Amino acid sequence: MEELVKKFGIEPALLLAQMLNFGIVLFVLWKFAYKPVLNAMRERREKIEKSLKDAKAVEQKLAEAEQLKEVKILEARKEAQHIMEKVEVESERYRKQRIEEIDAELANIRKHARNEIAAEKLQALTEAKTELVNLVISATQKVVPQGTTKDLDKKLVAEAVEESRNA
Amino acid sequence: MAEVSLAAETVFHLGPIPINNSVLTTWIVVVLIIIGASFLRKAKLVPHGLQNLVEFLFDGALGIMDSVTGSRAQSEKFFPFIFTFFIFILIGNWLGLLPGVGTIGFHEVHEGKEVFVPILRGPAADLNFTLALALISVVATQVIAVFTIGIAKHLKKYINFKDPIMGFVGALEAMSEFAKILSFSFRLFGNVFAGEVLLIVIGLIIPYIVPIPFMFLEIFVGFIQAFIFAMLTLVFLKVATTAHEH
Repeated sequence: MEELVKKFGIEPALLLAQMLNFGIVLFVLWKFAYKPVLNAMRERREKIEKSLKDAKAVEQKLAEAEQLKEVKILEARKEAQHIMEKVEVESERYRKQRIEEIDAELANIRKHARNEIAAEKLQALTEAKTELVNLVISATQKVVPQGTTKDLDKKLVAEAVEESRNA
Repeated sequence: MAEVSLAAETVFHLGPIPINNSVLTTWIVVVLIIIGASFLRKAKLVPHGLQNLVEFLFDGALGIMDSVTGSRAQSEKFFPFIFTFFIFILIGNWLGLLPGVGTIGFHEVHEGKEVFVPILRGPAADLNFTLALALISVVATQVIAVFTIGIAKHLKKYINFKDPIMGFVGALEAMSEFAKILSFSFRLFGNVFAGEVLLIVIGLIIPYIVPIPFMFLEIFVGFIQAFIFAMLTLVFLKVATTAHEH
């Protein structure tokens, strides 16, 4: 055994020194290489995982928003249609009302006009009658000798004219 | 004729401690690792340069460890310990292959004979280095196992009086723990030392061109031995931290 130890040059102090060397290397690597690098790797992995999850969430939100938009558009379209229908009905009603009003007005105007015409006609007739009476009187005065007709009653003449017209 | 000493040659004495060339090389490895680690101190969320490479290595190592542990959480827990074995041995092995290591040195009269003492020698070509790592690996595995599954359950693996067969198996397990120290240290030492001897011999026979394929072989062996040491430690760790269910 002693021969073996000597042959291989085993020296307890050196054995210890080599163990110490390993210890130093382990400590240094642990402190300055493994910990920072593995931490960086883990952190990066977590960050990427989180980013991917976030991206998925954003995508989902986007899809939801898209869906909401679609629904809103559909709603708006429906509402617009509704409003349009209402407007149509309203405008139809208004048009009818307006037409009725105009009709009524027209009827009124027509009635007025007719009345006026009738009145004018009556007046014209009266005037014509008076004229005619005067004409008859003057004609009669011309035909019949003067004096007798002087007192010719206008009223009588008018009655006569009326009578003759009716006859 | 070059003579290859099984034991690493003592270069100088530090007080009563004889410092050999392998320890010197190990110190260089330690310094290199400290310098490398200092670049990673401020690892950024957006990696570039060295951090990219290191993250690639770490991720690959964790992936391989996952195949043994079966869980990323456990892999990350064992990672510092396992990866330190790997990188420490790997850099040591590759540093030992550099030209000048094992060839630059001085002549010294030792026990009446003139011997060549290289200033540097691959760390794993010295049994002190491999034995130190083997001891750390086995002892740390035991400690971690005790902390993970509790001392009672852990001891039950080795001491079992319930039935003679299990008792015998337990005794064998206990012995195998000591065998592990030897197999760990001599496997690494043997491979690296043999590699150095091989390169020296080939270099002596045909110094030009021919050693190059052997150089590549040794680069590969250096990697494989580091990998094996780390993976075996991981496997033993995994087995030790798993409570036996009977």
